[in-house]
Amino acid sequence: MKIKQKTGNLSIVIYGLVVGIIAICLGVFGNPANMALCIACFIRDTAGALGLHRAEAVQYIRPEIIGIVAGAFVISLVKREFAPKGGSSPFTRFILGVCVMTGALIFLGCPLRMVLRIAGGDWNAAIGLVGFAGGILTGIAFLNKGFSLKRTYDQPAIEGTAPTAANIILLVALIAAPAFIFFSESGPGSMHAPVWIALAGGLVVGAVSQRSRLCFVGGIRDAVLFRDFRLLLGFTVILLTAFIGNLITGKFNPGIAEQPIAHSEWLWNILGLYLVGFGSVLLGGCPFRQLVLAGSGNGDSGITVLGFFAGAAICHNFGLASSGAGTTPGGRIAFAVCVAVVFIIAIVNTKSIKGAFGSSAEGVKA
Amino acid sequence: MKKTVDACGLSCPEPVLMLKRVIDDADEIELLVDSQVCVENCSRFARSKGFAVSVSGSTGLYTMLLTR
Repeated sequence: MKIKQKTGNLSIVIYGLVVGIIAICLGVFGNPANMALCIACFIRDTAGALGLHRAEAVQYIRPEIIGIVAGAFVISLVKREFAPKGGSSPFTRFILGVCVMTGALIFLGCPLRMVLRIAGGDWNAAIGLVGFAGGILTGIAFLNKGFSLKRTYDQPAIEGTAPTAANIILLVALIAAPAFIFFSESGPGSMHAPVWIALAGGLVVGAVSQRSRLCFVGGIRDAVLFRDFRLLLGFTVILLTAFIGNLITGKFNPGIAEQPIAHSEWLWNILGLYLVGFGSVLLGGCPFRQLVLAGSGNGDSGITVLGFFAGAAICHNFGLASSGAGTTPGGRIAFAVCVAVVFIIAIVNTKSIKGAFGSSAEGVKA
Repeated sequence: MKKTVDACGLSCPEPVLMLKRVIDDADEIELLVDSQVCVENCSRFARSKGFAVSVSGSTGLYTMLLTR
C-alpha cells in the first residue's frame, strides 16, 4: 500500500493559514479580544452554561468546541481514520486534564490562546511561552526515560462516537436555550460570534486540524525530540497569520499592562503555562489536540476533555481561576498541588525510574 | 540486524521514541502501529535516518518495514 505524503510542509502551512484566518474572523464577528479561539476558556464557558460553576461572566455554550469535535469526527470518518479506542490510563488522564485546566486558568488561556495573545501584542503571553517550553522540556525528560500511560485497545463504535454525540446535545441545548442553561449577560461569556458562524468556523478548524495533526505542544516536543519541525511550522504560521490579521483589523495592541482578559503577574503566567505544557506532554497533546482526538474516536481524549470541564468547574467554584486583577491565593496553592500531582503521575509511569527499563525495552524484539 | 517493534495501541510520540531507541543498531525494522498518524510520524523519522519505508495494512494494524 502506498502511503500518501499529504503531511508535507506545504499542507501544514495551508492548514495553519486556515486556522489563523478563522480565528481572526471569529474575533471580528464578536468573540472576546485575543480570545477568538481558546479551548480552555471555551470549555470553561460551556461548563458555566451547564451550571457546573456559577461565575456569571463566563457562561455560554461555545459552538466552536462543538464544531471542532464534530468536524474532526466527520473528516476522520470520511478519511477512514475513525478508530474507537480507549483504555490507556483513563482516570490518570482525567486528573491530568484537571491539572492542565488549572494551569490554563491561572495563565488565562490554552496554548492556542497563548499564540493568539502574542499575535495581539500581549507580551504577558510571550513571557508565559517560556514556562510553556519549560513544561514541555520537563515532560520530554520523562518521555526519554520511558514515560507511558500504556496501550489503548479497540472499543465499540458507540464509545468513539459518544464525545461527538454529547456535543450535539450541547448544540441542541444552545439553540433551544432552556431556562436551566446559563448565559452571561455581561463579561467575556456575553461576547460571541453568531452561533452558525462560530459553529461553521469550529467545524472547519476541527476538520483541518484532524488532517494536519496540529498540536501546540507537539510542535515544540517534536522539534526537540526528533528535529521534526512540521508541527512547529503550523504553530508559527498561525501566529504570523493572526498577527497580520490583527494589524489589518486594527486589533494589534502591544504592551504588558491592561491587555484584554489577561493579568501581568509574569511569574504566574510562566508557572501556569509550565503546568499546561508539562501535563499536555504527558497526555500526548495540547487541549486543542485532545478535542480533535476525542472527535476521531479516542475515548481517552474524551475523558481528558471531561477532566478539562471538571477542572474549569473546580477553578471557578473555589476561586482558583485568575482574572484581569491577577491570580488568587487559592490559585497559587492549586498550582503547587497540581504540579506535585503531575510529577507523581510522571514518576510512577516512567519505566527507568521504576528500574524495569533495560536494553530490551517493552515491545522490542531483536 | 533485524528488529521487531510492536507499538500498537501507543500514541505518538511513543512509537517514534521506541523506534529512536533501536534505529541506530538495526538495518531492518518491522514496526507495528495502529494509526495513520503513527505511520506518518514514524515514516518521517525513519526517512530522516536514511531508511526506506514500505507499509501494508489499514486502520487497526499497519505493518511498516524499514530497511537501509
